[in-house]
Amino acid sequence: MSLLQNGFGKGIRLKVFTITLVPLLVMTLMLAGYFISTRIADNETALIERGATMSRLMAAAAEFGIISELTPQLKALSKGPIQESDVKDVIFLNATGQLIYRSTELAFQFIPRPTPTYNQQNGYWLFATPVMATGILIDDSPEYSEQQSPEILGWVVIAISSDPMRQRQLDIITNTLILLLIGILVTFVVAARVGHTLTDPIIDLTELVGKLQQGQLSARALEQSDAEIGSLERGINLLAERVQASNQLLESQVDKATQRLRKTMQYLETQNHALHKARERADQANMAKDEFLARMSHELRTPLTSVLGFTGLLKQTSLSFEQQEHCRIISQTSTMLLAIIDDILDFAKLQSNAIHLESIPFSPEECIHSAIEMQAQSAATKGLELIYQVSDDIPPVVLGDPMRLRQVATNLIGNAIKFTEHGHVIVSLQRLESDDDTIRIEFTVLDSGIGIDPTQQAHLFSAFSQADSSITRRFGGSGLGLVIVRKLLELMEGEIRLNSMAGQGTEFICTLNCLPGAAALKGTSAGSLTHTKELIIFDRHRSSLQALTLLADKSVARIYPCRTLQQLSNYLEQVSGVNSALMFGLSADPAIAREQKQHIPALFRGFKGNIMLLVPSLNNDVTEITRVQNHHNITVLTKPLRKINLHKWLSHSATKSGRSQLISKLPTLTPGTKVLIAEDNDFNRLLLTRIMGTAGAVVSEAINGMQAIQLAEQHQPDIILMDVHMPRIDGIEATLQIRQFLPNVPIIALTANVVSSEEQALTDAGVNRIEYKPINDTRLLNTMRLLLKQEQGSLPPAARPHDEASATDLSHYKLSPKDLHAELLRQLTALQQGFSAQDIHKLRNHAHQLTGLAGLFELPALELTSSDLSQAVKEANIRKTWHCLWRLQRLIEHHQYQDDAGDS
Amino acid sequence: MDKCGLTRQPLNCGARIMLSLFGWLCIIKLCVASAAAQALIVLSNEQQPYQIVSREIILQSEGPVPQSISLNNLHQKPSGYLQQFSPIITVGSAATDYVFAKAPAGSQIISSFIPQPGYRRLLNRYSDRLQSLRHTALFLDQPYYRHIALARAVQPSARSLGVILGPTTGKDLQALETASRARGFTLNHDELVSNDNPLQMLQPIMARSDIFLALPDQAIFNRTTAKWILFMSYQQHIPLIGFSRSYVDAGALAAVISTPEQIGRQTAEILNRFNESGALPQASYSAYFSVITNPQVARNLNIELPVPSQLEARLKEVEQR
Repeated sequence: MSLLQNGFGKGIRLKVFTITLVPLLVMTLMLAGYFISTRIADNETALIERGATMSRLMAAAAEFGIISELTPQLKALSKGPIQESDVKDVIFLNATGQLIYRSTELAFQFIPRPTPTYNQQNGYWLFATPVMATGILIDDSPEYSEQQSPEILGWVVIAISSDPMRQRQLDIITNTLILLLIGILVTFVVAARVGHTLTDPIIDLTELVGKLQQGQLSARALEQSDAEIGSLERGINLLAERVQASNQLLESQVDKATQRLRKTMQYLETQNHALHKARERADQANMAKDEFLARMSHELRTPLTSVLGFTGLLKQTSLSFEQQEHCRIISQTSTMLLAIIDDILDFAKLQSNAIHLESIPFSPEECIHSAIEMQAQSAATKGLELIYQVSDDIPPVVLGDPMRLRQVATNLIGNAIKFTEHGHVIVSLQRLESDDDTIRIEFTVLDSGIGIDPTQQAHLFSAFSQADSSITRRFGGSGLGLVIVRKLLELMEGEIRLNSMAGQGTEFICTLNCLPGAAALKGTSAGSLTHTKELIIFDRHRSSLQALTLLADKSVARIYPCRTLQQLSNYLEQVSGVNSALMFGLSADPAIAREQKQHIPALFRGFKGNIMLLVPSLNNDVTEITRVQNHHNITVLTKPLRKINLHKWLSHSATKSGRSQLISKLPTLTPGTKVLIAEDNDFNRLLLTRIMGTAGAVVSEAINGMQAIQLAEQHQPDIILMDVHMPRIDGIEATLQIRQFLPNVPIIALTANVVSSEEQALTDAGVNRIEYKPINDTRLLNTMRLLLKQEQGSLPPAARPHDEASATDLSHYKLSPKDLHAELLRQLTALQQGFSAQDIHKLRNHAHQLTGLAGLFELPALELTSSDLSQAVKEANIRKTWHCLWRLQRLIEHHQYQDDAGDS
Repeated sequence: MDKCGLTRQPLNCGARIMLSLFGWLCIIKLCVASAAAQALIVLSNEQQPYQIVSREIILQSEGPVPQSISLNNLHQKPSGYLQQFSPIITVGSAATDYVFAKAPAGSQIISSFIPQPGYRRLLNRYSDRLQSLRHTALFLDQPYYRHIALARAVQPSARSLGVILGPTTGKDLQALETASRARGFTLNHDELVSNDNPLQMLQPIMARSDIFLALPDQAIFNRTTAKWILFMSYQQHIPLIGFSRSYVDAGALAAVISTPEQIGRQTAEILNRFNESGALPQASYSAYFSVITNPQVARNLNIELPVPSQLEARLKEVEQR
């Protein structure tokens, strides 16, 4: 019962009993069944075999008895078998089946058969065997032969009772079943016993594991078993102990770790705080670094510019040759130092991705040209031909960063000149096919210099590396130029590659992407034919000649290119007329140039048309030629020739020089007209003074509003030109005050601003006319004439800023670009001083002046940057201020503001 | 087992074939030479005893070599085939039966190697036909006197001779009694009726006799009973005189027989005489015979048995008297 209650229900106990008992039972039953059936079958078989054997033997023995039918014989024969307990009858039958003899009388039926048979009848087994004649051969001759088959003489039938056999079978079954029962009983008892010894500990262990799972780690198994189960019990106990121990250990470790974590978190918090402070310090330091960089650049540049400026001044004094040479060296080294500082700063900014490209409209042709012009002097000094080839498909205007492109060009051209001792530097610009809307421009600088060894080419674009360390010693430089170039080109989605062969020259090929510009900055008619019909072009240098021919190709009906003086002389004889022109390219080689100069007077003498003398640099002394020749139709220009200049030159009448003609076109004022100019910017004031002077006026100058009021009162001017933004008293206030005592004097306000409120304020103050900067001399003079009633007519509507393309040509007023540059430098210096002194007022003032200047002379890049500077100063953003200042510095010092102002 | 010295030694198989081939060659040759007087030997079948008889006839014949043919081959021949031969020697009952039936009138027929009862049956069957034929016979079996003489020679002191007659031998009782008397025996006899058990009948006869004579009658002496008759003779210590070599081998004390060679030889003599005189003798038993004994049985029965040659000599001596 307990088994049923505890074990048979489920679990291991049932399984143990099953695997123990079931196979055993099955096997036992099968064996018992097999044993019983075999024994019974054996018993029956034994009976049958016995009966058959007995019957066979009897048949063999009974042959004589049956033949002779002698009953006593048969009786004697049957005595043996009949003594067996189960043999109940022995019967002898003759061949006809008739009974001869039988032992007892039993009722059964017998059907004679020719073979031994046995069957059961009435509880008897009957075994019948035919008695066959076993004859002998007695005839010698076939004459006596018998044709006989084996003859059946009779039958012997033995009747065996089946009762004893059945009794034996019963005994077998009974005994086997008793044995089986005992076996099963014993097996069951043994299985139950063994099962218990096996399952009890396992069940206990299972319960223990359950307890352990529930967390009762103190629970232990009773170690009562031997062998494997015993090992298991001990093992589980050991495991439980270890788990308990490790649990305790873990708990303590977790406690410790938690404490440590807490401490760490506290520490981290402290650290975080410290980091925060450190970051603040770093930010401050970074800001300080920026400031330092700005200051350093300024601090380095200010003295350098002073050095340069004073060297320039020193040069103008009477110096001995030695002193002049020293001045030149000072100037050269200072410029180099300045360039190196700029390079380093550029590189640093590129490295930190601090440079962002601008996207403003510019002319790529002019941009590169301005870079070439800057280097023209040094090329000329070295006697190098500097050639500029521009393909026709270069768009006049694209969107991009002209300043950076010029920087790239300046760098590459500068390098080319630097590393070329003889020959030429060819700069070419062409457009490449591009898949998208962008304009792909290829800019190539080819020189005939020392070249670069292939092994050194790989290191060429590495920072601070030059092709050869000896180059640094020989040519100087920071070694950053090409790195900066490459970085800038990458920013322009371009690339740079080079072809070079040592000793033969180098070709740098740059490609860059620009966006297409909206419209042409200036309408040029360079493409159309001019009135010059025939043009003789002379240049000894093949590429230079080619470039010039290409340049003039579209503008002239016929071109006669020639490379020798002899050829030129021939052409001059053939072509001579007012509509013909001569373009003479003076060789860059000083020796050849000297020779050419000797021939020039003779060559030019009989020529009626315009002559353009292209010199490598303006330093070339050609005044002698022009003076001696007294050729009013000679125009001297520097190489390379600008397309616009060519066009202008070709468009001029052959009879008069371009300059006199241009000047004569300007309107004049009635001589003695008193003009008061109120302008705080020195350069602007100078320009206005010159314009007025040229126009025949008497000028009085005021540098601020206050002074303007005083001078107006003193001089009673006929007309007043009033700058709006002036220190102390601005133009509006000054107008208001002047109007009080000079109510009718025309006052023209000059402003670069486009704010309508300011416009209104000026009108309210009594300004007659607002003229927007940049100043157009013709327009201004015409307006003045109208206001002064020196000319009848109505005033044209006020022009909007920048809507007129014609700015004043400084050269007309003996104001060279150098004067402008000097003025710009002055402004820059003032700005830098203001920045150093953190003088916001000064910064704003000079930023404003610079904006005015830029506006006046149509310098968009400069104007943009200076207005950015004004904005930055207004926002008190030091970093931006410094950035704008730095940009201004670059623009001004490297003449990069001139991209669009070149022809003004 | 001793063999009779009068018989020819059996030849080995190869020699026999050679001889046979030689014989056939002679026959073919002589057939071409003198076909008119040629004898035909018709064999009942091709078993060895018939072959031996035929060979012996051919070897011993002095006139034209007889031609030999088996009954099976003869069946293939045209109906007038037998006409060209004289005499026709039949070997065995079947050949005799056929020739009696088929032989043309006037044919001379010598029936050899045939049991006397069988010949008698054929004579009865073809009694009409035999009117037109000349015929004689040489029997295979032995005359009763010769058996009885052997019984006397074996047991000189015996007084009663047991014998059972069957359907075949029943009518010879008179001859038996005569011969028994002549040899000094009292004949104990009984005759088997159809349903009688021969063994049951034999037992009292044997019990009363000093020596028992087995006669060739299949109703009594057959494969089944022969063994048990021997068993009974052993049981009762009565010596049994058999009628064949096989029976002597099986357990009979002695027997007198004519071998095929002896039959052949005598047939050849008849043929030779016929060829010479054209006369056919009366049907008779073979003059040549052999005695066979079983010394082992003699020892068991405590009989001192003379050697077969002595017995043969004694028999011949008796016959010559």
